[in-house]
Formats: sequence, C-alpha cells, structure tokens
Amino acid sequence: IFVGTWNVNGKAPPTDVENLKRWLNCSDEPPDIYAIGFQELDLSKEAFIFNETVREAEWQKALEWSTHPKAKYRLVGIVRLVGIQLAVMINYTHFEHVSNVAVDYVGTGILGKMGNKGGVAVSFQLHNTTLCFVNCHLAAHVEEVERRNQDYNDINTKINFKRHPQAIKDHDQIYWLGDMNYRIRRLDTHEVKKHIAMGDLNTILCHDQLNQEKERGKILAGFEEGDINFQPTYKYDVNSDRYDSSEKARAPAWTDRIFFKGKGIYQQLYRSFMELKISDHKPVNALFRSEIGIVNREKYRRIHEDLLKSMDKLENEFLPQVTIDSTDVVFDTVKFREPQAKDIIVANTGMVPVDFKFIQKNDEKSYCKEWLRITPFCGRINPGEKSDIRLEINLEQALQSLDDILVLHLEGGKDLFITVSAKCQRSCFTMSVSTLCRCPVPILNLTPEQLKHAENGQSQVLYSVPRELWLLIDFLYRKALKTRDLFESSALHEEMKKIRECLDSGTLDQISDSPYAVAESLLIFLSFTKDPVVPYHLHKRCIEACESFAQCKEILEQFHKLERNVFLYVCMFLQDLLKYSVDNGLDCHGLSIIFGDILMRTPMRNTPKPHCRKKTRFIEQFLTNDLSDLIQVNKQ
Amino acid sequence: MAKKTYDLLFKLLLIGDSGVGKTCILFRFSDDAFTTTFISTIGIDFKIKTVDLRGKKIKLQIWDTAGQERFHTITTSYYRGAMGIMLVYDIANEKSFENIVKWLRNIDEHANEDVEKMILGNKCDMDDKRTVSKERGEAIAREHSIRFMETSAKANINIEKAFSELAEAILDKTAGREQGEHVDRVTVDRRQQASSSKSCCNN
Repeated sequence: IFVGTWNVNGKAPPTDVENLKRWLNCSDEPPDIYAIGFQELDLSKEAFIFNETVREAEWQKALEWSTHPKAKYRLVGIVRLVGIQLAVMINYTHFEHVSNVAVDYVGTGILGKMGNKGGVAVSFQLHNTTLCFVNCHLAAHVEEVERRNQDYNDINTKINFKRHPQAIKDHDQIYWLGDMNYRIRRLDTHEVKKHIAMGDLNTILCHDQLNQEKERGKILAGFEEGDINFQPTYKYDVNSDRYDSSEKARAPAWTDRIFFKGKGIYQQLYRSFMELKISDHKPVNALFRSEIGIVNREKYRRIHEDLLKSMDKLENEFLPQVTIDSTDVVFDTVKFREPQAKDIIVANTGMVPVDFKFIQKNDEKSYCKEWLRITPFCGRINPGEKSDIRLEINLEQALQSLDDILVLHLEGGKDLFITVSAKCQRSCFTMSVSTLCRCPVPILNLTPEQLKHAENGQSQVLYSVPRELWLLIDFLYRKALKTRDLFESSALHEEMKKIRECLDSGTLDQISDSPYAVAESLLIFLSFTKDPVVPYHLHKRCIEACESFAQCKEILEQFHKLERNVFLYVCMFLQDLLKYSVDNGLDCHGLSIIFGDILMRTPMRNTPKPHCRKKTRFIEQFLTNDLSDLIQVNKQ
Repeated sequence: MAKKTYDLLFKLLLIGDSGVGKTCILFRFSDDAFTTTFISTIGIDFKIKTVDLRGKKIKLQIWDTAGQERFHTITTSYYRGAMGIMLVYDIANEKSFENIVKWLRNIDEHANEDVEKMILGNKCDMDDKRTVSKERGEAIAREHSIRFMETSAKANINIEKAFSELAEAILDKTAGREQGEHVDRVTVDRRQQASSSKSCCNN
C-alpha cells in the first residue's frame, strides 16, 4: 500500500509529471493500493465558501497518469473537504474484491464546515479486511497544540460511515496521514537548521510537538509511525530546497506525517520527496506490506454447513422426548360396571422438561371415550423422571368391544398414539327391553344368531316383561316387602356382581341373600336399559299431563307394548310395597322421586329441577290410582 | 433480542404405508444415519434441518407420520398446514404402490390445496426384490403431475436431492406469491363485481 500526503499550497499539478511519477513509483513492483492525500488543494475563495474546485479533477488526472506503469488502477473512493482531498485507488485485478465503500468528512471550523481544516476518510473492505484511510489538515501555528489535539479528536470521533464498520477505530487497518501541523518546540529556526545541516535529526525530533503529544497520550493512541530519516518537510521557498527565507523565517518542522494501526502492517519505506518543489511542503510517502484476510470459500462453506448441522442437531436433541412402556393397552374382558385400571409409564428420555397432555383428535368432543378415565390427563415430567398415568375403564353401555386411540401431545414436540382396547362381555343390564323379552335363554347362553334376531326384533316375544326383571321383583315380593330402607342402603359390590352373574348366566340358585343388593340391582337394571322405560319422545307430554291421571293414562297408551308392561309391572310392585309402608317405612312421594328419575331418564342425565318435580308427579299418579283397568286391557 | 437463525420455515410431511421407510428417510436426511431395526412409528414425530437454498436459510420442519392403517383417520388431521408432502412407497412392496392412489385422495381431502407433492419410490437399493418398476412410478407421477424420484435411505440415494427439490418448489411458490400480490387484489375486485351483478339479476 502506497500512502502519500502532500500539502500542495493551492498549486495546480505540474505540467511535467515526471517528478510526480518518480514520487509515486518507489518500488519495482506496483503497489496494490494508492492512498493519496492532499491539503490546500485550492486556496481560492470559491473553494473555501462553495467547496467547488477544478483542482480536484486536475490533480486526479495527474495522479492517474503517474501511477506505477506495471499496473492499472481503479478508483475506490475519493472525498474532499475544501482543500483536503483523499483518493484511494486499487490495482484493478483486486477491484472485484472491494466492497462496502464509504466516505465521510469532518470540518473542524465553525459549525463543522467553515474553514479549510478538518479530515476526510475513505473506508472499504478488501476481501475480508476492513481498511480506513484518513487524511487530515489540522490547525496551524506553533502555539496551537491544544487546537490541533482537539481537531484530531474531533475527526477521530465524528467520522461516521453510517454502516458497519461505523467509526474509524472499528476497522482492521487504519492509515492516518496528513498535514498535522505540529511544530518544533523550544528550538529556534537557527538551531533547527544547524542540526539539520549536521544531519542530527534525533535532537530535533525530541522537540517535535507531535511526538510529545502522542507520548502524553493526547493523540494517535495505538498508532505507529516509521522512523523519520528525512529532513523536515516544511517550510520551503517555492521551487527550491531552501527553508523559508522570508522575514517570518518559520522554523522547519515535520508537519507531514503518516501513521498506521492494525494487525499485519509492515512498513517498508518512509520518506519525503525533495524533487517536487512547487509547494512550500515536500510530499511524504510510506510503503506498507499489509496482510489482507481472504476467506477460503470452500472452507467457509464447510464450516457454515457444519455450524448449521450442529445447530440443527442441538435443536433436535432439545426437543421433548418420552418413551411409553406400552402404547397398546389391552384390558381383560370387561363386564358391566366392573371397573378395571392399568397404568402406563411415561419416561422423559429427553434433555428438557416435558409438558404433556392428552388432546382431542379429529372432531371428537373429548380426548377420550366416555368409558375411559385418564389420570392425570396432563402434567410435567422432568428429564430422567417418570410419570404413571392411570387408565380406568368402566362399562355402562351395550358395546361389543372398547376401542380408542389416545393422542398424547408433548408441548412443542411430537404426538404419541396410545391404543386402548378391551372385549366386552354382554349383560342383561344395558340391553333393551325388547331384546330381553325375546331371549329364550339367559343372555350369555345366546348364540350370536339368537342375539342378532332378538336385537333386530325378528324373533318372537317370549315374555311380557324381561325374565331378569321378573326375577328381581319376584325376589323382593318374596323376601323384602317389609324390609326397611329398601332402595336407600347401598349394597356391596360383590353382592351386586353375583346378582348380575346369576341373571346373565341363568343360574337357578337363589340370586342373592341380600334384599338391599337386589333392590339396588333393580334400580340399576332400570337405569341402564338401552332406552328409558318411558320413551324419551314422550317425556314432554308426560310432564304436561302430570296433574291429570286421565291424561297420564292416555300417554301410557302411546308406549310400546313391552315398555308399557314394564312400566305397569314396576308401578304395581311399588303399589304393593306401599301397602306395607308401616313396616318398610317407604312412602309414595319418595318412591316416585327415585323411580321418576330412573324410568324417565334423559340421555344427558341432568333433568332441570322443575321437570324432576313433574316427573315425580307423573309416577305418583300411577302409584296412587287404581291400575286394574289398565291391566285388564292388557290381558285382553 | 435473539436473532432468527433462518429466513423461511417450511413444514413438510412424510406419508405412506407402514414399513416403506418414512422414518429411515427422515433419519438419513437429518442425522445422515441408517438403522435396520424396524420400529413402527406410533404417532407423529418431527425433526429440524436447515438447508441453504439460493442464498436463503430455510428451516425444514419435517413431520413423520404413523403409517399403520388403524391410525389413518388421525394422521390425516395433521395434513393441514403442511407446505410439502412426500408420499413414500416401497419398490419391493406392490401393495404400498397400489395404495399411492388412496394416499393421494387423502391429500386431496385433507391437505391445503396448494401443497407441493412428491412421490418417492424408496428402497431402490433392493433391485433384486423389486416388484414395482421405475417406469410405473414415473407413470403414476406423470398422471397426477407430481415430482417423482426413486430413493434409498439405506444407500443414501437421492435423499438430499428429494428434500431440496421439494423445498425449492415451495420456495418458487412462495416467491411467486410475494410478487403476485398485486394480481390477487385484482381477482378479489372482479369477484366482488360478479357477486354484485348476480344480486342485480335476482332483483
């Protein structure tokens, strides 16, 4: 990188560019980059006020003619503030690797623009390295050190390329050049010239304000500068190598300097160039061997891919994961109202806590069928831990088998399917009255054919009421007419189970020893018949008619024959029970409440309160009035 | 604020008969691995894989579904929202190929209308056990205007290619939609006109 700075004192470029060429060609091999900064490019009022000048184009042309003959250059960026101009050119073979070019300038005069002092900067990226060149012209005069420091700091902090990297300091490599205007302190003109003549530059350099300010940490922190082996570049009589011979006789000084900061920058040359004499300054240039980072595309792609892969892997690993000990839960043959339970164990085998819950599938109302209960149906399992989930089934309807697929959803993760199945044993409970009246043998002894014909009403009606109902009520007639608290004390599950088995298999033994169990079985039998004994579509009319026995009787004639039989049979039995109310403590109203709710049950099983009262009333009509004429009709 | 690590998210779905190799295809694509032990997928699982397509980072969320018949009614409810569906059969399993028609019908009934589809004839490394010729696969795909490819998760044939082609097709569609926004608006206007003129006739 060739970096040059020259205060041209408002002069036009020389017509003969030979010396300019010699300045710009200081090496056999062409530099890859030229960064040339001028100060006082134009001292005219127009340039000062309107920031317009013909000099910019003139000098740029001159530069282009004078660059190294072994290479062609293209302009990367050019920026100018009044007389401060910076042009960066690059060997065109590298041009395609230049990106992200930006320029900015900062004036250090009033309002940040008046005056011809300040700094300009070009920023760009070459391959993968960001470079910044700054050209400045700081305040003049020997006593203005503080002013110069302030100018420097203003430029350093205010230059903003408005993209990344934004500020000068954010670049990988920074080259700072310009007419810094720092002078020699405490040596008079005579002394300085004497030391120069003796070739003793070091003594003068000790008094260089810039070196002193830099050492005090006021400016150029972290910047380096090559050794100065050339004599001060200011101030000469124009067209000579003679220091200022005017009355002012300014002390010579190294006003024109080049600094650098960043990794991999090696300075090869730092010199002034005496042959260019048109200005009162001599040009200064440095040559750097700078390391530019080049991205290995292939390697970059590979690393990028690996990175994506490992991120995906991480994400996949951190998805919620569980295993279930069994996703196919098969229960033993399930019988009416004999609940069974099985546990499944859900183990969190992943890396993160799992929030699980059973979710509805398709358009189903609930996450499981009505015969199944899942506890808990949602919860959280920490990594490495397990959770038991209990599946309980209870059969209260006529089904051949139980089948359900549960969807266990993991929050933010997968869904697992769990199938639940069981065969059902048929029972007289849950059968329809019509089917039972057509069964020639107990329910479990039916052939599939017999069952089919009974169910679809093809076979003959063999009984006027179901045999099972008769067995229950007959038992109560024989053993329980005087038993207290019938229908109120609950029986043991075992006793109930025994009764059900007797009825289903048709054992001729005593169906039970316990009147309470039989009474409860009767209630259950009537509660779970496939359809309510009082047909659902007639409930409304029953409720409306409940105050008039005559109307109630009319509705009764709308019943199917077998349901009508069952209804009357039960009512007759209850009437008979009430004859012994002194002994058994039963009363008509109480029985009507119990049986009204059962015989006129609704599918939802939650009747509104006012309807309950009227259902009770409807039953009461049949418990308090004489039913014999109804039976008569039946007998005919 | 956490930066999004991708530009676009595509949801893909793998469907097909049980045992055709859906899970293996996904496993090969996401983990570049293969296992011969068959574990039936009982549910819906997914994996993530990010791919670079035309300078865009596209995150694929690939859903693997249970293939067993008994789960079909449930798995179809997961079709909605999928932007791409891979329909897999086994070239050594005639039945799985015949069922392609059934699966296509499922897609028609349950998936988004503009879903991108692709048919994969998997296990193409098992040429000695082949019962479905490549030509038949191509024919059915042509008939339904769907992309087709023979793949092998075991021998890693065409797996990456299949996913990137499907993703690319979705990307094309997505890009087209962005540009076609203006056209859509015109269509809506025309529809409004049509409905207003219809109400005129009724009067």
